[in-house]
Amino acid sequence: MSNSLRNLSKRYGANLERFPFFLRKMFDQMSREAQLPALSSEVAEVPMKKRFNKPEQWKVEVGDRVLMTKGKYRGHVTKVLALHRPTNRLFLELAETKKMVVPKQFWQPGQSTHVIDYPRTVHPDDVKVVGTAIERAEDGTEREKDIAADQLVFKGEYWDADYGKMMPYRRVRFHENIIIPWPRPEPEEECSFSTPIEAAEERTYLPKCLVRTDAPEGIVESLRDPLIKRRYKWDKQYITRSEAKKLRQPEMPFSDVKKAMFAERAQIRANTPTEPSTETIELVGKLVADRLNSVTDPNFAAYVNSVAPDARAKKIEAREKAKMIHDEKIREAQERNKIRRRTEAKYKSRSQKRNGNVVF
Amino acid sequence: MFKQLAKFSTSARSLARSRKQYRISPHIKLRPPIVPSIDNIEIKEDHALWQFFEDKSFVRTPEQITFTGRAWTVQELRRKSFEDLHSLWYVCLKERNKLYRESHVYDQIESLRSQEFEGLSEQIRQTMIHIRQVITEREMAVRNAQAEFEVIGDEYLDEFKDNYLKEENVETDEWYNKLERLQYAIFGIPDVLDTSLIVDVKFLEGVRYIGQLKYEKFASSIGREDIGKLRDIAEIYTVFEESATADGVKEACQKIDEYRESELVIPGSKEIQVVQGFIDDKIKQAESDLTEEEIKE
Amino acid sequence: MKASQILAFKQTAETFLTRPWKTYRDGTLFYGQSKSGNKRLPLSTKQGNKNFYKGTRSSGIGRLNKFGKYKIDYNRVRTFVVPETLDECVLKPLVSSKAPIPKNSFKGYDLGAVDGRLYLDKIKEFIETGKTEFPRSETYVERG
Repeated sequence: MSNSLRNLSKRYGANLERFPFFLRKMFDQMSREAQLPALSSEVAEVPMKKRFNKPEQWKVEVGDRVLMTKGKYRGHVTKVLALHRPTNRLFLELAETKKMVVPKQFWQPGQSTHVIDYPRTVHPDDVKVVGTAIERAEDGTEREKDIAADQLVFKGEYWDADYGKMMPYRRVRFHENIIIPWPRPEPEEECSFSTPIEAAEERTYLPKCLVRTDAPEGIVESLRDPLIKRRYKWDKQYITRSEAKKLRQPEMPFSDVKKAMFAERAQIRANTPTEPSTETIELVGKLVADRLNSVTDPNFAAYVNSVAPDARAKKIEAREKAKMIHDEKIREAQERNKIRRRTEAKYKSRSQKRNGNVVF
Repeated sequence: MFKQLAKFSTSARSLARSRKQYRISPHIKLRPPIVPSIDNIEIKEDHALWQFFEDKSFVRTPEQITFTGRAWTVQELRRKSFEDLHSLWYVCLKERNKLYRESHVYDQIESLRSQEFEGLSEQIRQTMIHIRQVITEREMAVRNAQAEFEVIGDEYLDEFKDNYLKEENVETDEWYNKLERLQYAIFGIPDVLDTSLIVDVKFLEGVRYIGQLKYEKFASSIGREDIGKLRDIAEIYTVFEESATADGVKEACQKIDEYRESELVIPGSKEIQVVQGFIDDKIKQAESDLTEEEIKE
Repeated sequence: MKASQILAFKQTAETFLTRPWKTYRDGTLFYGQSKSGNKRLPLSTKQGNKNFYKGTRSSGIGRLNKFGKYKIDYNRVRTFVVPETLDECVLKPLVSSKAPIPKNSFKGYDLGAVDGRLYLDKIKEFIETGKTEFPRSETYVERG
């Protein structure tokens, strides 16, 4: 994307990372439209956060043998040549190509035409890692056999000196005793920009003093923006409980009169019953029952009956009774029909015997 | 012979008109002009701007800057002292300056090769970010440790004191070194005092702790318990100054006796000034001793 | 509709190579992001009106005296503190790819690298023994 180091600066930056994602998408599309097909990759670049950075995510490494499961070369076994990190895809030895037009100013040495074949990349999900298993024949001879892992699981870790880091064990799913080892990386030469291992591992700092470090005084302040808006997370200062106490306004002490009033109220509150006594309940129940039993208006009486506590049960009972009667009627009707059909059939067969089959 | 007249210059023309008839000397010969060219410019070998060039070449090719290494990680940089980190920062900065210049050259001719310089520059930038991280982290660790020491420091110092007092023979190299390390690690008092040293509260605390420690250890063995409690900072400093041996404390006790005759007591507000004065005097004394020795030699 | 828009639908190689967009002065084709160019770049030192003085962030380090001579105030000159041992520095901007990537363990210390107790423990170790040990496991996990 960036065309010069200048773009990395905050001021002159056409740095897409700084835009919100929807604008980023738009700018990305604009730039893709403007790019020559020869210069742009076929698949869009994956945002930084979604890029693979662990061997568990890639599942394969450079030098692995893989079985292709998609495309023109489905079923072929090839080798992984490189990982294309911006798109999370792989370059394989045997790959489909696409014809691409390259302007003269971008020609590679030895190129003689505008049109070249450019290999397409493959997603790691579209290949299966191939390992070797030892097969024992019946006569006891051992033979190496290629196996392709349908699914992989990563369990356990070991220190890989060639990779210089912890690598997970690559196991075949449901056959976890089968481990497909990682391929050996090709040894890299040291470049002129890199520090040799001995110099990098040498320890020259030991914490010796509690009062100061070996750095000049006030170095942290010089590294940071003095006018920063938000405090750094480790610079947050909290108010202690005693300080908060000092900041709060003091509470006025209550006078004796008020204290007496509070005591009296508390006494009243304690003495006030929270639930009615049984006598009260009985009295109220009796009064209500008397009133309701003496209702003369039929409509009101119907209403009272409908909201009575047993009204619902009665209603359900009545409905069930009605249903029972209804069912009984249906059963009787079915009985009758059965008898009728039987007699009709009887008479029909007799008349058929008498008259013979009628053919229409 | 044809006399050449200076033209185009008003002063020359006015002179020509004048009676004296100023003329350019006929002995001056015209030579072909020197063509401005880089070959005609001499540059000093140690010119400061050569730092922007690799091996004094104009630009490196992208092949020359292919790299296989990776940026320094924070974990690796945690091993390095500030001096190393500082140097590494400048090494990175100089390399990035070179790369920036060269990438600009490729940019000017609209070449996409400038991107290859940016790739390396970005890696180096990561190293620089990590350097900053480590430096900040270390300072924050010290500050946190100081806060922690406020809480558990007294307990640790008391424990050290107990061990020191219980030990039968402390006049060994092991204990001298231990005391030395303690006074530097906890109170920041270096072994060798120099002019840049500034006395502060922490320094006084250290003087008080070490002085008391020595006095309590040796007072009974040399039979100078009659002094009793050390009264002020001057007395404690006399003990602190002497070596951590019975003889050293004995000598300090004699000095305290002399001091007590004057019946001076230093108030708390003057303590820092007084100790600073003691140290300055001592440094001056040492310097004058040195010069005397030189004269003798 | 512009000719370029119609051509954008024709995804053949020739159309892409001969898009009637823009050419450089020497006639070579321009493959850029926009035809119009970004007009919202920062002003250069030569732009702006009579009241705009951009400067180069390099001035203001002294005063003209009454004789018209510029006196530099060296307190205001930007200085860089370069380490004295820079020439002896063997470290380079990158690390060899063969160097294993170490990890740090901060077991028992909540704040990790900035933990005060961790620093204090190292100091105590230094006081007792005169050195601090940083053991490293076979799997390159180092004491933090």
